[in-house]
Amino acid sequence: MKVSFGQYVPGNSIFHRADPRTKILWTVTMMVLLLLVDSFVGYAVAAVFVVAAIIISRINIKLILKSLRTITFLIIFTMILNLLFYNGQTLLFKFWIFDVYLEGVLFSLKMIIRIILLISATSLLTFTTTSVMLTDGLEKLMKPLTYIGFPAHDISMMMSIALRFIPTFSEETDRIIKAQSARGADFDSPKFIEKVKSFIPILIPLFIGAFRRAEELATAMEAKCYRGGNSRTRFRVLKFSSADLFILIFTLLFLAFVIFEKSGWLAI
Amino acid sequence: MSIKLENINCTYMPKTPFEKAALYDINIEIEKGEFVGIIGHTGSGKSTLLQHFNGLIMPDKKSTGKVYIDGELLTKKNVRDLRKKVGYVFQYPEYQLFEETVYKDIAFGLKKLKLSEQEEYEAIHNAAEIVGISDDLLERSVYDLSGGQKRRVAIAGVIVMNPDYLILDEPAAGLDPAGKDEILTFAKRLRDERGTAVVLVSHSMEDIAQISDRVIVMNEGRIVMDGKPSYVFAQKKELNDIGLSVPEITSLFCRLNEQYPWISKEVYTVQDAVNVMKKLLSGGAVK
Ligand SMILES: Nc1ncnc2c1ncn2[C@@H]1O[C@H](COP(=O)(O)OP(=O)(O)OP(=O)(O)O)[C@@H](O)[C@H]1O
Ligand SMILES: [Mg+2]
Repeated sequence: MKVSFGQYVPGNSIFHRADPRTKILWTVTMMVLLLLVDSFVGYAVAAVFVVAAIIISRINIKLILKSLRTITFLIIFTMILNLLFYNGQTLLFKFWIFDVYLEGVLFSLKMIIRIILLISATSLLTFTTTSVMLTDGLEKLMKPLTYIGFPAHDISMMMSIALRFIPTFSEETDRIIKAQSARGADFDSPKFIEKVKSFIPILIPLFIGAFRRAEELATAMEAKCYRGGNSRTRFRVLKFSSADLFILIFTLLFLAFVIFEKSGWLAI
Repeated sequence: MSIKLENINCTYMPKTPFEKAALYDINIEIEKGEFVGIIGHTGSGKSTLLQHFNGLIMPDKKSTGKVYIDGELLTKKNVRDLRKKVGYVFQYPEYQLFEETVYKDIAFGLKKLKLSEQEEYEAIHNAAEIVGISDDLLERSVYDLSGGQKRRVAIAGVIVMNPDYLILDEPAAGLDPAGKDEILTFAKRLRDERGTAVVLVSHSMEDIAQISDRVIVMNEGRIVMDGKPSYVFAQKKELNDIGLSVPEITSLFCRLNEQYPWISKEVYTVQDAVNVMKKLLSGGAVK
């Protein structure tokens, strides 16, 4: 099993202890604010905030860099597109049929910084929150919608089950691939048709396993008298703590800065 | 002719917070024709070790770890060919079946070998016969079989390739006693008739004592004992310390030996016990 983007890393930092709702709020606010910020000074300050958040969360910076690596392609793609197609005034040089402008260079630089900050800030949510907590938080946030008939509990239950089984299926896939290659399966045939065909011995056992698991889980939930959301009490009760207050203030500080910046006093 | 592991270390998910070292400094050689039993506590690295035998896990290129199959160094290039010599039956192999019929599923591995129809037919019937799948089951859907039958089909799908080495990871887990005995019996038969080397992981000390010529004991990623069953199972205390035990019958004779020192405690199988008792009853005290 490989560590995928934003997998939970156990810990006891302020971020780990905070209520998932606070962290969801932080993530959404950061996303919106980072899209609003538009100057290099703004990005510098935003970077300070994001790095501070990473330090506070005690997540190894290497892990964050690793999750950034998965989007290298996106970053490079954005950069090239912006470089080639941005029309500005200060022509730097001509490249084949494209004109590269200074404004284009600056703009693509901004985009890259923006993407990197966005990913780093938002990945903190999944790095510091277990999937169970995350769906609990989402359920609580969606609670008001239940008054108009929105099945908040069922949706979050489905989500947590789905999340719970991702590692299981990734392990199972690994196992089946190994088992079939031990029987002589060949997964890197150069011919396309052969390649597609070679996935059948993986997909069929995987699907059958998924159905078997689903059935077992349903039976187990039934046996434990699971009856949906109404009047269920919880093992983990979410409550507002000093960690939440801290993150909230932290987010508000950044919000204040963005408003300040947007109001034009810092325009550069 | 052998499979040889040299300086094998294995770490799962290296350089992440979930890093887990599973094997340390493994050096062993499995000779053709041997029947090797591997025992060890849950999580001691047995399955990880087995997966090195046919290159499902390859030693890290930067390490000094090397695997030789019949003297040939295992590399990314030749792994597909060398793997044909090593049949590998996973824990719970019944979950890897996928074809419409039992016959087709057993034939899966053969497809690459380009046999004639007649040869293929014979190989499949032969393999089915060895694992005890009768001909009328061959055209059935694999999903209509019982758990034990599925297990046999999966094993047949491996031995149909006629491997020189057969690796069985807990082949009898979850089977009834008769089913378990049958699996052990045909593993033994393969070894005796074809000279296949068999490596078998089991949590049953009785089975291991009864069937293997050589027992390897794993603990926390290391090989801690390697020798004849009589050598390994004589070390009752050491085995208990790592969460294993000796066969029940050995325990019994150890207890008897405490009170009646003339009764031998070197009893590892029911057959040993019968021999000892016979001698005792016919008057000649042993030891
Ligand atoms: N795919 C994997 N990813 C991460 N860690 C693993 C993986 N497979 C095994 N491990 C870890 O490596 C160690 C050895 O596992 P292994 O499966 O080899 O044990 P085992 O002796 O076969 O146990 P069992 O008797 O339960 O089958 C265990 O601590 C396990 O948690
Ligand atoms: Mg195992």
